Amino acid sequence: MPTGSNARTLTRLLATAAVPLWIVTADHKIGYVSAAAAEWLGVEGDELINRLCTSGSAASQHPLDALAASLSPPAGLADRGEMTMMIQPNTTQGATPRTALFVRIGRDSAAFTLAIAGDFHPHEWDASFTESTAIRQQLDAWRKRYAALAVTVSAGASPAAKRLRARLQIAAKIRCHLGFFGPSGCGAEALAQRIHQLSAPGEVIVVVEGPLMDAELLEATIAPAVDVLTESPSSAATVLVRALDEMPMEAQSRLADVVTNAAGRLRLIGLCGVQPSLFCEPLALGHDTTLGGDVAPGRDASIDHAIDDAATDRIIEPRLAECVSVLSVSIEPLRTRVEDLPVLASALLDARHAAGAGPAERLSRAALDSIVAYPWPSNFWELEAAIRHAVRACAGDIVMPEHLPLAVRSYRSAELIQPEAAPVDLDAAVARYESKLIQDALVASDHNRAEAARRLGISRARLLRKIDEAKAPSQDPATRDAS
Amino acid sequence: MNVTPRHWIVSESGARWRKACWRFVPEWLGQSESLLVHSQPPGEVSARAERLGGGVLLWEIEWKQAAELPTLARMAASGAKRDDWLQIVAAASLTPRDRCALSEMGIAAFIRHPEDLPQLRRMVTGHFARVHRVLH
Repeated sequence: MPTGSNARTLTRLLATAAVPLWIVTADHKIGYVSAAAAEWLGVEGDELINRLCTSGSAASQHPLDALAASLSPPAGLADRGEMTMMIQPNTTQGATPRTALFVRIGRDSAAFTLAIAGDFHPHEWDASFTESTAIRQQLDAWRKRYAALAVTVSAGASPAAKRLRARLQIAAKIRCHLGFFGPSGCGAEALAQRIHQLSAPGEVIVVVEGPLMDAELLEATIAPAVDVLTESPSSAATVLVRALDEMPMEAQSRLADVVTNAAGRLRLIGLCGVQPSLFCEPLALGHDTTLGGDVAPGRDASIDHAIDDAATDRIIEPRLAECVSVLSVSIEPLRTRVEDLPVLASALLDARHAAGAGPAERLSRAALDSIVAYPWPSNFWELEAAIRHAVRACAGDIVMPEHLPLAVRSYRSAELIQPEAAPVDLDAAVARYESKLIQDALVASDHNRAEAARRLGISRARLLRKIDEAKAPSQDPATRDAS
Repeated sequence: MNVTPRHWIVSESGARWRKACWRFVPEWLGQSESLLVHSQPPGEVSARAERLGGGVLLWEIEWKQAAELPTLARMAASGAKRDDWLQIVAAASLTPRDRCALSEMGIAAFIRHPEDLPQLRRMVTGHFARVHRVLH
């Protein structure tokens, strides 16, 4: 295929295009007809050039004028910019009607219209593409506004997403101790790393696997950060602790000692589980050199007590609890961010597509429905894995439900399953239905059994037998014996 | 314990909204409430609503059915006569004019996709609380 930036390349591309193309000039005349269009219409392309092409109305009785008029763009194109319409060529050559996409290029007298005939389905286009376009626009706006903070987990329009972005914006501007609170798989570490890059660019960061630490191992792990601190009095470093609230208390105490002694030069970023309610409260910012960060200097006893409670509940050493409450970022689980799911999934898909992982470039509505219905117990990590799976499984450009992992596409809430899973006794159900029909027939015939049998299309003897059978199971055994 | 049923009548062509109801609505219920979702063809909704007494009516309109809005409006109007039914329309593409017309017929809310359903939590729980006060 020819490529280049000169007009000749464009000409060659248009001439060799397999789909019919034509151009309508600003003065509503045919300005160009491609070879494929001429073949479709059964005429020589040059015969149509400069013929009036507007409103579907021909300039004369000449057949080529009528044909040119039938190629005219729909009304309202100037306002909308692009429209689709079924073109029915006014020709005796038997050209089949085709849907054409009209695109208006330029403004006023310099404008021209490019028409492309193909198998467009305007209504389906509207239904499915409008939504993916809306998601794309939402994502583009998010990327533009939060360019530096564009970590996928913060995308979306839910109140939770907005709160998260507001907190992140603050965290990105201040170098202070940080606490990230959220369930497992919520994407906290990616956010923490990004915030670190923005708030303290170039600063050494050491990642600590909290639950695996004891005091000695912790010292060995954070040694590079401590070494940086000893290099000069102005040097600084950051320790990022995964699952801080699951870290053994012995290691937490040692870490608290190191952080306190560093007097603000060693920053702590703690990744924790669910946030204690205390940490949701805004704390007045002050400066306390003993804690090495901004803390609330005027806390009252109730807050201290609450910190103790929270620390006990979450098993966080009190000094570390104070550190992670300096500025806390709460990440809510995906099940409470249902309205963000289409945007998050699309953002992940865009990233995979851009990375060349597969041809899939948008999610079908059915796939989005499956994603919305699933509760995502492992949160963002699971969503990311599901999209990765879908991109691998999808050979086309649209991800369908069957491309999603089995757990996602086959998920049904427990309440929905129960009615269908309940065993059905077919014989009993048929017997109940038959009994109801017999009862209705008897009532309708004023309990005349012969008449009821006639209404039911069976013999009287058979009706009596069925009445006896219906009575038999429900008859009290004692009564049966007595009779 | 006395369990209060919370009825949802869903009129749709598939099972999309029934699934959405079961996915989101149970989280809104108290311990003494239970969810009952009834799938009904449009023509039978009114009779079913009459029998059940009160709840939420969810109408699905596909874009292909947009031309059938007058029919829906008539049905919605029949439901609007009963204050104990909260009517919701689920449609991917409704013009503002369609929405205005349907609002006049008693449609309380419009949603486009299942992910919009949780946004109606306050409205729906408020409706059930109001109906409960009226009936008891």
